[in-house]
Amino acid sequence: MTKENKQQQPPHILENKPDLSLTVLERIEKERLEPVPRWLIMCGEYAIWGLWGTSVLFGAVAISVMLYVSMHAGFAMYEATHDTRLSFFVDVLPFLWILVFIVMALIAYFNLRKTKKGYKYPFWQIVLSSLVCSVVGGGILHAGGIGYLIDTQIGKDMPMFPSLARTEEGMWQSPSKGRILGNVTSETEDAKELIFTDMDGDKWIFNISELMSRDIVLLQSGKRVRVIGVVSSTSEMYFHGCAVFPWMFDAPVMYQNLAKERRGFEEHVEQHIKRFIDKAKFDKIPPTDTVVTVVQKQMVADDMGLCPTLPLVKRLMPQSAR
Amino acid sequence: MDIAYHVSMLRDPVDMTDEEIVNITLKEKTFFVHIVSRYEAKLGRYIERLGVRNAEDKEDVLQEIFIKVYKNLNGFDVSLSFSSWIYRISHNEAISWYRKKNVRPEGHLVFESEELLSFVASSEDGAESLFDKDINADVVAAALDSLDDKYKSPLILRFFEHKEYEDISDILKIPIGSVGTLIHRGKQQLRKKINEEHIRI
Repeated sequence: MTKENKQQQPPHILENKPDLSLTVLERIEKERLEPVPRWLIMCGEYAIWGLWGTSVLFGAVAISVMLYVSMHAGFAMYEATHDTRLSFFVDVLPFLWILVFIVMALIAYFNLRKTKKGYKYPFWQIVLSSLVCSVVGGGILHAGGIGYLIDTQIGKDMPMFPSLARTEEGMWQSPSKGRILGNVTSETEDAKELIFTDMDGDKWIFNISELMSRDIVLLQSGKRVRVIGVVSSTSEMYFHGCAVFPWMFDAPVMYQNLAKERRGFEEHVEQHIKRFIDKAKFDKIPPTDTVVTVVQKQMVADDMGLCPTLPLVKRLMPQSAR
Repeated sequence: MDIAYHVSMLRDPVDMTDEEIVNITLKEKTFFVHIVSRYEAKLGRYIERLGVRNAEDKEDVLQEIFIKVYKNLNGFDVSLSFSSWIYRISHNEAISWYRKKNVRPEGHLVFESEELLSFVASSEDGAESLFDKDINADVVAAALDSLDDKYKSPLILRFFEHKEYEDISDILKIPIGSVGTLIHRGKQQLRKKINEEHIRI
């Protein structure tokens, strides 16, 4: 401001109005107004940053659970429970955590916007920075097992919460579709039968005649297992086992276990497909053939058992073998 | 710190920067009158352009602006210019005033013809090609007045308050890139409105 400006008459004098600066000063005095303390203003700023940090942290937690769910859901054996990989994916998709993440990302965005310099940055930079923080944080939390811990703990505390373990339980406890989840509770006099109690508390006479030896060892350990088979008689609660897999959600799932599970699943399916193909070969031999008798054919049919006829096995069978 | 304060008290406030006056005001409130007298006229014109037209209303709004400025002096962000900060408070106060009054300003000319002519003749970003030079200044003012606030405010700040993009970004709290976009779109809308008005006349 120049000296000439200083000498100019302010407009209020020319217009004979009260001086605004004096009016303002009078009001400050009269109302005993004081500048808001710096610490209080800083508290507001810190609160906004704190809220941003909290929302990013919760976003990271949501990401860690999403990572846990997407990496440890039963993709290794999705064919056992679903027709397609996509339908399996949709069923295990953690919608709740995705929603939590979106809400947290929005809160983080609006908080960052409210900070002193927040308005300087374009929308995408603010969103991206919050997302990167959440994703990196989520990755670290997941690596530390937090995703598993949170999903499992909330699942235990809240009966309605769709944790991964609960979702998998729902998929596997379905006797009418040939899947049960539970453990062997006792033996019977028949060496080929055990008593199996499923998750609903139902007791099944469990036929192990078509199982591999490693399946039987797993069953006899008494641990919770997932079973693929067929209900051969509902009146007597009779379940015919075809493949047994360990229940993996009692502890963080290891990747090598998933790969092992996939191999085990494929071996079981291949074994049942082979038996089906063997029987089909016998069926194709004309009845007039003198070498193969009706008795031999019946023996092959008996040997094939129930497992090769499972819808799952038929679905995975090569087109040429059907 | 105290020595600096006493030394600064010996200087003529006219030669002080806004920031220096703020620092002294935080210790001696009577110094605030220098802030008021320095910005009274500028902010008066600005809020008038934003729609606070009645003299009494203008006086009230200005008073509220300066009271708010005083109460928030500790919140003044030294990374901004004081001018941008006080304009921001004024902008918000004017907006909340006519929101409270539930009115949208329109129809009054608050632009001096000299300013309007320089706006029309502005060489920035194709502004010179915006208008036919024969167009009446009243038409430009009316068209500018009827623009959406989000376009009107950046145009007013840029062409009538002569603020830089960075200052406008600080005043309106929008990214600097958006300032350019809003000014560009504002001009387009203005051209459209002026053409419509011109045809009507």
